[in-house]
Amino acid sequence: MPLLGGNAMKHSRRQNVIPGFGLSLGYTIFYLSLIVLIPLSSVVVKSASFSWGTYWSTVTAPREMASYRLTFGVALLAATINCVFGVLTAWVLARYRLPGKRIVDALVDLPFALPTAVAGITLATVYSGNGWIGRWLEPHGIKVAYTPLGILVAMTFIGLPFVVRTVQPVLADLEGELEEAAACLGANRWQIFSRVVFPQILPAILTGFALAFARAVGEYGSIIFIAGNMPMVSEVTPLLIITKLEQYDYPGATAIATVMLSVSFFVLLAINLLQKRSRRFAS
Amino acid sequence: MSIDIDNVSKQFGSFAALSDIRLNVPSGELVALLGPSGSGKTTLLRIIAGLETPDSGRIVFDGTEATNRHVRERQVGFVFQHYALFRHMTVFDNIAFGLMVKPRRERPSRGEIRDKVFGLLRLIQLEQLSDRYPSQLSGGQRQRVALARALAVEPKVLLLDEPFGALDAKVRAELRRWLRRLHDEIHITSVFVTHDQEEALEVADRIVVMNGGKIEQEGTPGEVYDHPATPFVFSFLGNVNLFHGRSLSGEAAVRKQAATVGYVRSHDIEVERRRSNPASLEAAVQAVQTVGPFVRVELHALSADDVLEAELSRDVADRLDLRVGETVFVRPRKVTVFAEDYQI
Amino acid sequence: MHPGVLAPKGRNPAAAGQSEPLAIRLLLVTVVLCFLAVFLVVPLVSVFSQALAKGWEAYLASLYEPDTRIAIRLTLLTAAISVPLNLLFGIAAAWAIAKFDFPGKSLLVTLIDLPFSVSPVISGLIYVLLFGLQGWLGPWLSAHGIKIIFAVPGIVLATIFVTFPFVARELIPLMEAQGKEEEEAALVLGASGFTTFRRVTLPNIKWGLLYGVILSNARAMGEFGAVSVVSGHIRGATNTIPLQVEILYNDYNYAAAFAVASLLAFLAVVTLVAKSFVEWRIRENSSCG
Repeated sequence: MPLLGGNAMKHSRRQNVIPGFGLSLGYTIFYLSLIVLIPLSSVVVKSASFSWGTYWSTVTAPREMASYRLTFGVALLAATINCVFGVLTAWVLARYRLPGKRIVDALVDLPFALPTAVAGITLATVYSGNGWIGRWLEPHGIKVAYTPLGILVAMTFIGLPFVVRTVQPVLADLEGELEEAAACLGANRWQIFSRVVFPQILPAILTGFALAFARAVGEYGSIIFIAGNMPMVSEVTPLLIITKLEQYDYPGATAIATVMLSVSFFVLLAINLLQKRSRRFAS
Repeated sequence: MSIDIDNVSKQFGSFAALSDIRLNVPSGELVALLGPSGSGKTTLLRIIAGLETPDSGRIVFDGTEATNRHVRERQVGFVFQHYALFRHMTVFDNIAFGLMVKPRRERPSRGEIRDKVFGLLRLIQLEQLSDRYPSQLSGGQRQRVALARALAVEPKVLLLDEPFGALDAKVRAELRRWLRRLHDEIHITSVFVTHDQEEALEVADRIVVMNGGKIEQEGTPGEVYDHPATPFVFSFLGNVNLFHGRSLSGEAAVRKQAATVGYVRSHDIEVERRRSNPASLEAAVQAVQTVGPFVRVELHALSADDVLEAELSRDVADRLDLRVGETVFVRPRKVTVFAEDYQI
Repeated sequence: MHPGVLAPKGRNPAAAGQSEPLAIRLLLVTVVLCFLAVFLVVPLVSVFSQALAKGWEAYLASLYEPDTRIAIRLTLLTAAISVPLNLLFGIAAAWAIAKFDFPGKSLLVTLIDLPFSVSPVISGLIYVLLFGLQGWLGPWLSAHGIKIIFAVPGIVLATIFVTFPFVARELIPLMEAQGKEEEEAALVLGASGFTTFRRVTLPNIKWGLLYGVILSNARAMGEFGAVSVVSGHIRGATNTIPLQVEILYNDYNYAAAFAVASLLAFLAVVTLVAKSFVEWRIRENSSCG
């Protein structure tokens, strides 16, 4: 075997005169394993020690189930809201001339740049009964802070840039000629959007949706301050993991983590498939 | 410096890019590697440069084996197809790069480098543009800077990958002549890759025609054009008309099974109004088109069902005054016949 | 408002069928600006307004609190360790992926992006499982007196994890787009591998590199969830700025909480400005390259 290995190494080195392949790839794999792969595998290894019965009863306990329903349900809703406003924002930014557009454009990334704890306490304050926005909503019987509605606000906030940032470049690259061709063929503005533009930006919208959803599901910092954190009512899954950890219930925390990891895995898979699909059209 | 390529083969996955190439490039010659895309010509050039390593075979520079010599130590100048100019450096810094990166004890002084770079800038007629960036230059100017950069390190061999590929027709023709003159001045052993037969015929001392990872023929431009060794070379270097067996021998037809094919260039077809030779074929004029200095006539050989294309000079065409639908007589002036196993 | 202001970009607005009527354009722009104002501008402004609610003196005093100063120092230390390490990794990964072909490349790219799709809470949890008292290496570590969880090393590790992909994912597409001809040209001209990297590759990727560093730094200084799991919240010892914000907020010390939070909000604004500037530079570079 060493002979074969030696040949393979020699071969791959001989393919390319640019130096540093072994060093850079070796370091990449070493560092990736050390920081990401080995630590992540600890979740899998730990959960492998559970018996199926205990595992199942842990992850399907009523409090856990309530947290999944809340987290995934609200995250879906928030991602949907972000799709609508994200496409609108991307459209305006990519197509119209606006005074101060560069500022608006930079501002869209605020949820990426603003630490989640800051976002959390600020949203909680702004939407509380005497906050800047909350005081206008409360008289109408709309309570946002410390309710599931608050979670929706926080999840919408942190997911906001994803759809904009995936759709905007696609819209900007869209050939004007396609729309002109459709117009010459007699299509009206709405037909052009729904039949020509929309199908082309759909993969980007779905990718943005998936990214926003994944981010919202895992979010912790911006939610806990505004959520109220009532078990069975407004307790999100990441908070449940923290609660278990604080009670030194490591197996319980790990079991819930595996549920969340499998969800992110499927979202990641979906995004990859989407991008493959859109690449197929690209060429 | 002479280059010997000795039984070189190269495989990319299951694709044989080069199989068993043998070639000698004599010192001081300007050689064209001519072929369609995928013929292996660029791979061969990159193997000579040391940018790729052959799976088997040897590269010999001036009698010394260079197969395993690193690209840094081969002392070759390489002009990339898209120039690969360093976009963050000025024209001056691009040309000076090869001198600046020499080890301290071999590196010329700043003054010497400056003189050398300005000498090269004069050679490529871009002295005024020394502090421009590549993005501020036209395609032809970038091409010349790339060439000057390659020459700055005084390479023993100059290798050019599709040097004029990305330029428009007029600049191409100018640069072609300029490269030829430059080579006549400095006589550096040079190999360039091209898919343009006209370019190869006009610029090169010798042409190596490649196809499917093999060399089809090598020789002077006159040799490969006038005495093509294979049907591929014949059809790659200019227009071709096929005369099948029965039409070759005229009306007294040999039957269909006679698979002999004659290759005739468009300008070697004579068109007449009356039969002057018993071998002439009757043909119907299908189209007449004036293309710049000559007239292209599309003919349908009635007996053999062959479609032929003849190129006539303007005065011959004026004299004949051909009309579509007329019947005329055609006769190949020069026919090339290849042995049967050579088929395209 | 001048009708040209909302005109569609780069086209003749009069051309029929190629843009929406003015009324629709106005409506779309209004909706978008209102949405962004409510969701982004109001919270951002409110941070600074709450921070200064009790005046400048109280603001500055709360920043001079010893616990806060320790938190600031720890945050700077964490960023100073994690950003350079991830920078080095990003360059190595992008070099291997963009300049060479090898089997498993797309899997490697997916794995590098993995930390982005993991919940911050889980990012902390994995290190607890590895180094915590009940973890794999916990007993051995405590026997040798090494503390990682509920101590500074754990905070640094969790921060490295959450900022892991930033530099790499900026550089990989950039270096792939630039190809390897310039590097080959430098090698043919006799440059060594290191010289080629320093004088040819690095100048071409510097803006992308800076972009990755800016994003990575913002996240490193602002990370809350992952750090919260591994920190143990020991006052004056293992609290970073975001954790200090949480503690002050939970103590009902709102003015101080927002004062400290305003530091991070200011960092976010600086990040956005720097990011826009670098994006503009990258566009300039690629449009004339």
